[in-house]
Amino acid sequence: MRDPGSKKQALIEADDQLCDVLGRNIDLLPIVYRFGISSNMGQSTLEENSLNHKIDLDFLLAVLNTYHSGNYFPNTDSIDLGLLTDFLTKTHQHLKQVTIPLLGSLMQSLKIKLPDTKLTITLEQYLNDYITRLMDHIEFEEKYIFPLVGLRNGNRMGSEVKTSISKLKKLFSQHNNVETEISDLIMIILQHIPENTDIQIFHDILHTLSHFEKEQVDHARFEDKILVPRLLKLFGSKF
Amino acid sequence: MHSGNCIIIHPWSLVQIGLTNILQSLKVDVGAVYSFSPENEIIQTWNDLIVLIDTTKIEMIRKHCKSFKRRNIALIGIHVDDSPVPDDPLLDEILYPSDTQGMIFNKLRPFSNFGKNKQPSLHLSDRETAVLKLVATGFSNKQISEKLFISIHTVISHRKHITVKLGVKSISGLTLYAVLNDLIE
Repeated sequence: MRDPGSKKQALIEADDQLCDVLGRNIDLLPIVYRFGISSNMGQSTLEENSLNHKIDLDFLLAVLNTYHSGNYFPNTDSIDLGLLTDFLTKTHQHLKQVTIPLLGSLMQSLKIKLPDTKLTITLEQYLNDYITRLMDHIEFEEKYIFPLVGLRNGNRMGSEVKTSISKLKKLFSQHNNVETEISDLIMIILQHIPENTDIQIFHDILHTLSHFEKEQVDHARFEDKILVPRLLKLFGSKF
Repeated sequence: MHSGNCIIIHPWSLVQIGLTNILQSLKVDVGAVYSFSPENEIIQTWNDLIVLIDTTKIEMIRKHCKSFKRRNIALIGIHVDDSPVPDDPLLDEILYPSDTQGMIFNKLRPFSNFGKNKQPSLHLSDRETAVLKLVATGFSNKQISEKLFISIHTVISHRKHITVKLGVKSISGLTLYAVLNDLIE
């Protein structure tokens, strides 16, 4: 008999069927899409899928398990940094093309339900400011941090590369802010839902923000625990 | 911000207790009682409430009173004797020592709905509210300590309490909270 409670703790393995993995944790579906798996999920295992879609199986398992379980963490030295930055870039694209437009559309619905209220106006302002900061953060990562992976032998140490290396540690504090601000927004919305209002729109916003927060936390784990330490190790002596 | 919707400023305990009992019968919650005029930073946090004050103390808060109407604050004087109080446009009502309980009840009843519609404050203390306002306005811990005449350690301690009570950590989140609760513009 299927027991989601206990299976959720179990690691995802190469011979697990993809549909079974998604049945255990449907939040992994957008992660699977980012690997280019979007059809024929049927009965095939993760190993078969990785062969069919030319995906590095170890990396696929490392990513799925990291998103699946907060306690799991892959062997950091075995992760290919090129694959990792490619995956993180796709996560940024998902954020820009799916999550942020969805939040924008939910805010529009809130504005229709509660037009010109202080709550709506200030929430929209907060969210817009937050998204602006998040876009700046993404640009910072893609401009300064990810390109370092292509130079990981450290042979070219031009001034731009040195600038990028010096900015590495800044990532930690930025991630902390990104996660905290979205968590704060959830708390504040919960505390200020007006009486006698359509609760569904607030539920949709909170649900989306909650998923968004979880994804941001997992995304930051890859960067803070794998990418940045590995890059610091590679370039550390060049400071 | 106070948990109730009324503040009493009077040095005499008997007056404080008597008025609190009458206000309770009107279902008005007394959030704070002061023997002396509170600090400016605390007065600036007031919104949407009734303030009952010893008429001899009004001068101490007069500079704040201009914004009382805009902040939906009703100011009620408690006079020291039965001599008539000169007309003062700031006062919405005056209580005299010879007023019976029924008379006081009738004078206060028109204001009993003040503050009933405001958002719950999650019980931040006056000091925490003052710190929150300054944090949300962009002041550093050092600047806050200088403005409120408290140590940086105390500012940090207030900030920890604010975070625990509100469940909000970031400065942008605290600013959003302060705006939604009319603590800042």
